[in-house]
Amino acid sequence: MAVRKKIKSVNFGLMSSEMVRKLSAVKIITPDTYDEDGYPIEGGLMDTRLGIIDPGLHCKTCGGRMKTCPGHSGHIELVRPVIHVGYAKKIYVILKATCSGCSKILLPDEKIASYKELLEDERDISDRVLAKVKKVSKCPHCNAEQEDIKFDKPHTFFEGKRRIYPAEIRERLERISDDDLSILGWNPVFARPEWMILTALLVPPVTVRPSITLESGVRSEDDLTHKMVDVLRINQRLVENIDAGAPQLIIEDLWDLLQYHITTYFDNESSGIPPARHRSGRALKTVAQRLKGKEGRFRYNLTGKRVNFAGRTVVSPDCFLGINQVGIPERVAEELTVPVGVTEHNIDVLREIVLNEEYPKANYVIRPDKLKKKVTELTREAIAEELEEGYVVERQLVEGDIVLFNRQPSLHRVSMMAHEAKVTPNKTFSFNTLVCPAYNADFDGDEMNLHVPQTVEAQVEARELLLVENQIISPRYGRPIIAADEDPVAGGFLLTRAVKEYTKEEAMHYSFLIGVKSLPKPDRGEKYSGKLIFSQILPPGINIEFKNGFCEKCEECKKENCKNDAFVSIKDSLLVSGAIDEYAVGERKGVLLDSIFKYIGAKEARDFLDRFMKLSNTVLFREGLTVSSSDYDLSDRIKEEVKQMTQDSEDEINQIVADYKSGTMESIPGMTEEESFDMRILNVTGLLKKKVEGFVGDSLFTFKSESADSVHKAITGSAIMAGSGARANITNLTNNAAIWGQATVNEGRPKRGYIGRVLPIFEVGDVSSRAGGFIENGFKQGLTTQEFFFQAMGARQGEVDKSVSTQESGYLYRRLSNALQDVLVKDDGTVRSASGDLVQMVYGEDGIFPMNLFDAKNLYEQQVKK
Amino acid sequence: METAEDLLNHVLVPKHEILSEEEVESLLKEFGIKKEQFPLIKLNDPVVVALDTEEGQVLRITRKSITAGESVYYRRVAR
Amino acid sequence: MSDKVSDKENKDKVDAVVESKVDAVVESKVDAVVENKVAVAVEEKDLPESSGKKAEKKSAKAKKTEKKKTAVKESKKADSEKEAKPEKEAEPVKKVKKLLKRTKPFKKINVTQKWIDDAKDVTEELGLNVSDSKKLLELVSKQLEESKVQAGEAVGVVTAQSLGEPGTQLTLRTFHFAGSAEVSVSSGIHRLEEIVDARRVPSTPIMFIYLKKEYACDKEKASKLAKKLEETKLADVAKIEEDFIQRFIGIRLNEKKLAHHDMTVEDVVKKLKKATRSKTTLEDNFIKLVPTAKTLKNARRLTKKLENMPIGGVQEIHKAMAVKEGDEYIIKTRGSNLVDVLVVEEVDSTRTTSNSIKEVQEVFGIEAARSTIISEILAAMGSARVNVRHLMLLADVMTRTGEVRAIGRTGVSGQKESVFARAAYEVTIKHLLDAAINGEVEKLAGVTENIIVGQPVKVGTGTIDLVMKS
Repeated sequence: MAVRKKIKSVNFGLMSSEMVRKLSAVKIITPDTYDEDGYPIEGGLMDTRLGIIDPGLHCKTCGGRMKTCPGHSGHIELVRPVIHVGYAKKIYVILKATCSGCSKILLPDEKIASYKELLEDERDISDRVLAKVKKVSKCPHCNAEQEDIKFDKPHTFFEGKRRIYPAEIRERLERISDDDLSILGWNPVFARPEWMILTALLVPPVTVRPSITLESGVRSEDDLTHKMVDVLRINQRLVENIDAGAPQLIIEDLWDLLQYHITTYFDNESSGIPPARHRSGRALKTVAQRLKGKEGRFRYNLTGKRVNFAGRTVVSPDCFLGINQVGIPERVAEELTVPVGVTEHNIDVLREIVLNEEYPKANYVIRPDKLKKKVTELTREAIAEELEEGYVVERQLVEGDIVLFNRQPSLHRVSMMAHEAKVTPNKTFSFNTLVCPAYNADFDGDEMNLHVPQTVEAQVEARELLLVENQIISPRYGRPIIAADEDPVAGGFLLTRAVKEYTKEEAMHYSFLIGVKSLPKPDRGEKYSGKLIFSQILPPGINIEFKNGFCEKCEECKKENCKNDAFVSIKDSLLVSGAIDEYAVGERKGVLLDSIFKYIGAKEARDFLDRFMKLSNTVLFREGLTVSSSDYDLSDRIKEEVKQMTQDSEDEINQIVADYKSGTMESIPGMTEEESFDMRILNVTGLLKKKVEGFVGDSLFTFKSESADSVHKAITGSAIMAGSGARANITNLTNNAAIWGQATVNEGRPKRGYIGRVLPIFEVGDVSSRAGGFIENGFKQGLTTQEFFFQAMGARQGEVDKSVSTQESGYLYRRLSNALQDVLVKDDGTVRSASGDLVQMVYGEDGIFPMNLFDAKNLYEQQVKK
Repeated sequence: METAEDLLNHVLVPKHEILSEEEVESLLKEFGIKKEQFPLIKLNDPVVVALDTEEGQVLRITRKSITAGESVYYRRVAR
Repeated sequence: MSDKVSDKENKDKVDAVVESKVDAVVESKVDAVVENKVAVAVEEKDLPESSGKKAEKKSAKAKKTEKKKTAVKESKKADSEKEAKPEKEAEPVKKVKKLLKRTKPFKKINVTQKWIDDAKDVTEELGLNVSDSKKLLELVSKQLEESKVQAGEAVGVVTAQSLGEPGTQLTLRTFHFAGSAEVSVSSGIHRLEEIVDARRVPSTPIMFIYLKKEYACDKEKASKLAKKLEETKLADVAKIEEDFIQRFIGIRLNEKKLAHHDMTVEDVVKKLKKATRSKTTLEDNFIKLVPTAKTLKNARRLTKKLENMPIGGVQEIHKAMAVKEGDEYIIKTRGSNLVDVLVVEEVDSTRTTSNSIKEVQEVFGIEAARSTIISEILAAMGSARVNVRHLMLLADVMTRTGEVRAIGRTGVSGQKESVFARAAYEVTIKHLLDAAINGEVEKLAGVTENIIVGQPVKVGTGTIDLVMKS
């Protein structure tokens, strides 16, 4: 196929004036650009030998048209040499280090020789050499007196009182020997110091500084072209003046002006001189500005580029799609194409595709000579005829094609994964919600990007490495990241809790949904337990034991007889005991999911998840889950207890306040009095909240109530969600049912507000618990106005923190990834940097990749069928 | 300053051993590197000073490892 | 992904068969290295039964023979290819052969001590017998083989992502330990940045000072020591009065406070005499100091200097508290000064640590600094879980040159070999200009440079060249 040229390395160096002249296609003389007909002038800046920007014209140098000709450089012969502003400092350094008379380094010969020897071992000794040369006033070689050299930014040099011009500097630099240069840190093969002073200025090709034609028909020139015009004009004037024998002063002035223009051409932000401006006042963007910064050439056009074969739109959920799939709107699939090379094996199929009048069609066909032909109603037949080996057909995206799916900000590698395309009649990209945490996507209007790999290599790599099912375990901590959250967890729990039984019809309905062909025998008399139905989606040969979220950590574990159904035991793919919750299938905690992936396989894990989603979501849908305010009703006894505890805490706090005011409060060692005061109150409120949470838990999770044989008989919607880990935790429940507790701002009690108090409803100097932000009500009781305000203060701080920390962490991430991106594991297991230097002898000291970490106990249970 | 013994016995300081020329040679072969490619340790590093190591020598450092129990690292002494 | 456990007999059979085929050159090379590793790695530790060791050896051997098998197959293929085309050795084959010769064999990952310990724990927990615990070790060993990190894995990128992505979850603020006598530590993003930027001094420097036996078990002694270590300024124990009419500075010492810090009036006078050239006279608790300064301004300056003059304790130690940790008393400080604290008699200098990474590097060496980086980042990450291997990699990169380097352009990123990489990161122009003068060569070895130039990046699948057999 096509032979691709590969760039092996790039050598940097300075261009000498001869190189410039050699490289140049035209010697630019006139500052005029176009003539009256709008045609580029010869010898001018827009000369056709420099490149083509108008379609239809030929390049005189290479004969190419607008799309082919890359542009060619020209040059301007400067009548007087000029300093390259970027190197001014270097010129200064060298001038200081060498003799004004003989241009040798201002050090005695022996010293020079000894430094040369050092060069064999070390790379860069220039700093040391330069330090030594600082205060030498007489040249040790020719005895010439050295005057102090001054440097005025950005490009002016003085020797003593006298101004030295570039021509003289150039002469001095020319005399420096190659030998001397090496100890100064120069590589004389690629860069001789006199080349820092320009006699021939390279003119960028026309393609680098194209002119724009405005609507009004007027041609507007690029900033660089304007700059060039300036340089040319002054150069011309300088020539005229010199020839006419003008006085020295005028010449020097013009010379300086020339220098100014060339300096601003290179960098219009040079310090020490005014930036060149347009007539409108806007500063010009010249060479340096084009390269620098976030929107400069490097960061904006080189390390990141716009690409073809990509799409972007809003995303929406679809739980009946597999986790590997992504739903693509047909309209998008029609635009994005996959190139397929024609061979004897597929030519017939491809012909048909080309002849198709509706989706899936072919959009373009590429001939072996690279000519691209559009497939339209008219051309269809002809193209189909033409097709033979060597052609490439760009066919529209079709179900099963592999695509890359991504959500920005792409913070980790799971922000971009490979999916199997599924074309839908909708207008949004859709995918299974299990994949949301990986992308950090929610459906409040988020948009995501789709890319279509264009080569077979890329497609295979995507399928083998990036497919969602291979990314189920996160490399960050070795546990599942593509896992159940919210609805499916609740559904799974509802299905598998101890009491759940289903009739034959229900069992058949669920089984059909998950693709089970024949029902197992009923295990609860005539009925089927939810656990049995769940077991149908487990891959064959799975054995595992673990405790779920309902475990109370009793001294003696009752195992399968746990009254909370907390001991999950799966024997040979049968769920024998325990309810399925977040500890089975949830993010990070999902032991069951983790084990399936690691000991059985990625495919099976994906299959399990796909079916689990369908099953649990359907269960949830059919049985429903309702939350009502009565979910948060506490028993009278508990209410009393909470009230009492709160009162006691308040008393405690008020005692602390009293002590503080009277000066008898005990300070915490290491903290000031105020700090101690705050901390002690926070301690009291913290403890209170914890205690209340415990009581609330006991009350709301009825399985924990005194009638202890409940095992999930009657549980409220809220308790189901919190208990199974689907959503909410005990703190949320407590906030609703009983008490919010202490509002915190900046890790302490709210303090800012009015003078001496936070809110005007309190007395000045009041630091009691209420005035300090203690909220004794829960949402069910309702907060008082002050309490509401305090809570809002705390909430607001949280919001602000979130947005600030996103920015900070973004910059941190960029720095880390830039520094670490070249670090790889090599063939021999060592970890090395780009240059081959050793970083680690063995990755992670043991060679294990975090994604592959496993648990010896689970492994054993799994493999050794009990 | 604490004694050299204290330093080498400190909880944070792993065992540093100086390698012989032959050992270094075989390491270079094993890793396929030039001696400049080793990770470095400074000539004025407290442990280097305590062990009276010279510039250019290579140390074998045996660390206690959370992941492996023990793991080996090499560093070359440089200025 | 994992195989079923094969029978011991099968393995033996396989062993025998393969052993008899040992002869290819490539093989013996693999052999040599593998032998070394196997000899070094398998440790002798007491398992419930020593047969566990045998199981290890057996499984190690199984791995070896598997390798031999594939090596045999490879060399056989190469041989047959050679026979089929004796005239022209096809380019691809030559290339492959060259690569095979150059490729170093992957270091064998053996069952490290940690896994052996884990297996011991599991054996106990499940109450396994001899043969079962052997099986367990075999299973672990096999699983470990498959859990190796793959050659080409972009481990640096994954580490950067694993540390950067949870950034949004980290707390923004300093947090206080919600206990009494402890010191507040900065954590979260702020602390993470401090560490990664290799800042000289952390915003909350802390030391954990361990004490020698006699002090570690005595609360009184420990507390007294703590007070002694705290940096005391003159202003803490005395009131300084200026009397410019009579031209002297009066220092009124507070006896109670002096006693609190375990100092006497004489101590203060001694220190004063050392610190200033002024004449000092002592009357009870009142020291009269006649400044030599001529101007009021200079005299005032002297007063300020006196106020801040350290007269006791260790510099930089702003607060020190004796705290019980486990069975002993240790001193936690706000402020860090390893150099001066370690010389204090009562201090156990083999256990005392600080969270100031630069200090650790200067006092305990680069390896100690590396460990500290890891533990500090772990602490700063809080509830966001990141596997320690990522931290290890980061710490190794930061300490590679023997000094702790910052991650940014002053450190690791700025010292990259590639011109393009540095130019693309920050201060673009300077790097390009300097590169020209030095005649630098861009080798295009890293990620950024290849993206700029438009070539496949030499990471993961990019480390491999695909060659198709004709």
